[in-house]
Amino acid sequence: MTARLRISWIIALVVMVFMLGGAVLAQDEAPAGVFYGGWPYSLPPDSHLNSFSAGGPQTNTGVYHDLIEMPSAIYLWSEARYQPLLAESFGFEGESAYVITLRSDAMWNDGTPVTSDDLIATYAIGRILGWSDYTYIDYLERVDDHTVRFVLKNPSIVAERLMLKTRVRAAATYADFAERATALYDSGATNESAEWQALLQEIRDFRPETLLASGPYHYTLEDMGDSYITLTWQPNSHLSSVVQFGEIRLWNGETEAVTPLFLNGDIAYGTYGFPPATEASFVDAGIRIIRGPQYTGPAIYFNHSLAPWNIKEVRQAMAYVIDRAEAAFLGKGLSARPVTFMAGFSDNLVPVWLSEDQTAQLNPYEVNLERAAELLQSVGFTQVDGVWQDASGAPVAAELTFPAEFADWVGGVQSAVDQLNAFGFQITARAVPAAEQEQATLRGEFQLTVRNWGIGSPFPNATFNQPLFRYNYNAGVEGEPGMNFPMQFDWNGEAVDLQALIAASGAGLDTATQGEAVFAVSQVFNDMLPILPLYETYTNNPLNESLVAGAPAEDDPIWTNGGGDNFTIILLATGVLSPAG
Amino acid sequence: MASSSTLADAPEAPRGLWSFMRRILRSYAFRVIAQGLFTIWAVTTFTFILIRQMPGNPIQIRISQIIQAQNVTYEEALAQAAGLFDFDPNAPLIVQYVDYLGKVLQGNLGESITSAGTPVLGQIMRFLPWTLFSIGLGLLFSFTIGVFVGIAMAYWRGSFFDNVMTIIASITFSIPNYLIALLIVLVLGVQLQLFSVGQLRGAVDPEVQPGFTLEYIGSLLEHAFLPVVTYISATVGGWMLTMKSSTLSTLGEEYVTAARARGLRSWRILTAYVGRNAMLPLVTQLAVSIGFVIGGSVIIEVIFVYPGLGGLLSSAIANRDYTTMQGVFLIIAFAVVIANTLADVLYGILDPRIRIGEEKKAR
Repeated sequence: MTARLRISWIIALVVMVFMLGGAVLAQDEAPAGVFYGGWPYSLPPDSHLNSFSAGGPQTNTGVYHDLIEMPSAIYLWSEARYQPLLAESFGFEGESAYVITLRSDAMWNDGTPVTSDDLIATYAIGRILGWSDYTYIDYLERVDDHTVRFVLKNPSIVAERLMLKTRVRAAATYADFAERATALYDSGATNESAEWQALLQEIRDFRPETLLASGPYHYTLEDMGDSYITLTWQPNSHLSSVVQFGEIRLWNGETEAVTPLFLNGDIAYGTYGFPPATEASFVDAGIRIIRGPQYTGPAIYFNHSLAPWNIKEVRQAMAYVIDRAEAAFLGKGLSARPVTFMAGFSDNLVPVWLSEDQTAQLNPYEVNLERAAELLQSVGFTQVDGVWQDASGAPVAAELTFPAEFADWVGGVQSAVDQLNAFGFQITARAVPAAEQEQATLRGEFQLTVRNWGIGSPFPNATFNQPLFRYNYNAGVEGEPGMNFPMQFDWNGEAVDLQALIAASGAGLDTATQGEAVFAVSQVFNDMLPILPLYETYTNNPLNESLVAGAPAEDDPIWTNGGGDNFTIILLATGVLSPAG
Repeated sequence: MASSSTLADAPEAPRGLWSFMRRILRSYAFRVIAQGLFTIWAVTTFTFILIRQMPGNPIQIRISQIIQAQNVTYEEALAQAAGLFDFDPNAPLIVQYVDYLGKVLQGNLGESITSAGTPVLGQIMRFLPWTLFSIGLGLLFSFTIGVFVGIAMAYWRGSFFDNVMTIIASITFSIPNYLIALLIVLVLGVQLQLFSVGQLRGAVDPEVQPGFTLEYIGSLLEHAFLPVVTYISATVGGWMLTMKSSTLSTLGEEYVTAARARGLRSWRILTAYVGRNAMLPLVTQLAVSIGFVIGGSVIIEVIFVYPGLGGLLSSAIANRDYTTMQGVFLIIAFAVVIANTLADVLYGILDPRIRIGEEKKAR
C-alpha cells in the first residue's frame, strides 16, 4: 500500500465511522498526552475571545484555530478535494447557488448543536465586516436546521474555497449582532452609513466571556499564560473521540524565541521557517524536518518602466544565466527546489493543470550562457571589458532590493546576483526591511526587486494574480504602479489581453475551461517572463518524534498540503498524530 | 512690619500681580515644568509624525502577516483582515493629530488599532509593572554594583583588582544585551542544560496561584532572574568605568589631599569625601536610565518572552499599532522628563554650590 493510499484510507475510515454511526458517542475522558506546538500570540488585554475582532482567536491561535472554531471543510491538495470537518455535504447547485449541509452530530462545547443559524449568523456579521466572500455571494437562505443555500451572484471555485474555509462561529454568542446586521442590511443601509459604522464598532469592541468551540479543543483567557497557551480537550465535538491529545500547548514566540525550545525538546512541531544552519542543528539533535511545498518562493521583479528591464530578451537572457538549482540550495538548502517549468505557478501544480504535451511546450530555461549572449546581442547589446552594455553604451547595471528578514531568500538572491555579475551585469544587492520593500514595490520605486512569485492556493489563477495584479498597476490603486508590466500587447502576431486570460483561468466552475486559460497564461508568462522565478521554498518545520508519533512517511501526499490547509491540523483532527511512547 | 508692608502695597495690586507673575515665570519650578511640558509635547508630535512615515499601515501589515504566516491568497487574507481594525488610513494627518492630542489632554491614550476595543492605557497598566520590576531591579543592582566597584577600582588604581575589573567591564559593556541574552539561553540553557529554557519564560510559573506567598514570590524572582542578569551584565561595565573615571578626578582634588593629611581613615575619605562628589556626573545618567526603564528592554523581553512594556512596544512596531506606539512613547517621554527633573533637584542636594547658584540667580 502506498503512503498516499494509506493516509487516504485513514481519513476515509474516520469519516465513515461517524457517517455510519449517525451520532458520535461522547467521550467523557480526555485522551492522555500533550501536543507541544508554538505560535506567537498576544497576552490579554490585547488578546480576547471575539473572533470577529483583531486580537481574537484567529490571531492568537493561527492555524490551530481550525481545531477550535472549525470551518466546514479543509482542502486536501494532493487529491484536489475538500475533506469535510463541520459539513456533511456541500456542492454547487447549478451555477446559481452553493449548498452546505452541516453535520447533524456537530456540537458546541456547551452541548448545543451546530446549526444553520450559526452559519447564517457568521455570514451576517461577515457582511458588516466587509468580507470578500460577498464578491461572489448575493445572500444566504436557511433551508433547514443544518442546510444553508448561498445564492451566488458570481459563481467561482474561489468562492467555494472561501465559503468552506470560513470558520463557523456560535450564534449563541453573536446572535444579537447578527440580527441587527441583517436588519440593517435589509433596511438598505450601506457601509458608509453611520449606523453601519456604529454596529461595526460595537462588533469590534465586543468581548465575549467564553469562546464556544465546535472543534475538539477550546480555551479561556485564563489559559493564556505568558509563556504558553493551553488548548484543552472538550468532550462534545464530533472529533473529540478521534483526536489523540488531551491538550495542545502552544509556546509563545516568533522564530528566534522558540528556536531554543525546539533544541531543548520542549516543542514537537511548529510552522516556523528556519535558516539552514538552525535546521542543521535540529537534524543533529535528532529532530525530523518536514518539507512540504509552499507553492511560492522568491522571484526577481523587473520595473518595466525602465530600460533595459522592459526588453523581453534581456529578461530571457537572465533566465538562461542563473543556475536556479544553485540559488535554491544556497537559499534554503534541502528545503528549496529550483523552478523548472517556468509556467508562472508552482511546479507541483503543473501536472494537475497542464498535460504533458502542454508542459513540453514550455521553455525550461536551462543554464545556457551562449544563448544568453545571443539574446543580448540580438537587441544590440555588446560586451566591453567583460561588462554588458546596451546600444547607447550604458552598462547593464541596477540595484536589486530584497526583504532583509527573509532568511531563506538571502542566500539564493545573492547567488543569483553573483551569477549575473559574473556574466557581465553590474547588479548591487541591497537588503531592505520587508515592510518598506513591499511598499516600495507597490509604488514602483525600484529597478529590480525580489518578491514572492506565488501564493498558497491550489488554483493557478491566484498565483498569477500575485505578481500581475497585486504588484502591477492593474490592481487599480492610485500611486501604486508596481512593476508596471503592460497587460495588453501583441504576442506571436496576435493581440493578447493577459488580464482577461488570467480572469478566465479562475472564472466559472468548469475546471477544463479554466485549464485552457491556465495554459494560455503559462505560455505567455513563459515567453514574456514578466518576473523571473528563482526557486520554490519548502517548509522546514521541525517535528520531534520523541514527543509525537504517527507522522506519515516523507513521501506521503499529505505533506503537499499548502496554504491555509495545514497538514498538521489535518493529522491532529483525524487522530493520525498521537503522543509518543 | 509685615502688616504695614501689606497695607502699603494694597493700592498697587495690578503692579503687585504683575510682579508676582514675573516671579513665577522666572522661578526655577515654573521653568522646569514648562520645559517638561514642552518636551512631552514635542516628543508626542515628533513621534506621531514619524510613526506615520513608517512604510505600511496596520491593515497592509496585517494582510502581509496573514499571507506570510498562513500562506493564503491575498483575497483570503483581505477577507480575514477586513473590518478588523478601527482605523482609516485615508484620514488627513492633521485630523488624526488633533483627535489624538485632544484625547491625550483628557487622559485618554486611545484604543489599540490591532486589538480594537482595547484601551492603550489598559495595555500599559498590564505590562508596566513587570518592566518596572525586572528592569528596575536590574538597574538598581547594576548601578549599585557599578558605583561601589568603580570607586574601589579608582582607589586601588593600577592594582590587580583594577586591571581585572577594567577588562571585565570593557568586555561586558561592549557586548550587546541581545547577544548576552542569546548566549545565556543557548549555552547555559540548551548546551549545558543548567536550566529549563521553557520553564523560565514569562513572568511567573502559570501553575503557581497568584498571592502573597513564598511560592509565588519565589516564582516571580526566578522568572525575573535571567532578564535581570542580562540587564546587569550589559550595563554594569558602563557604571563601573564611569564611576572609576569620575572617582579618579575627584581623588585629585585638594580637599581629598587635605583629608588624608588630617589622617582620616580610607573608608571615611572614600564615602564622605570622594564617593559623594564622584557620584555627581552619574546622577543625570541614572535619571535618564530610570526614565528609560519604563520603556523596558525590547530585546531582552522578547528573547525571554517576559511580558513587559518593551515586548509590547516591539509587537506594536511590528504590527504598526500607531496608538499603542504613541502611548508607550508618551509614557517613556513623561518618565524621562520627571526623572530629569528629579535629577536636577538631587543635584542641588548633593552639590550645595549648584543650589546656592540657583538661589542667587532667582534673587
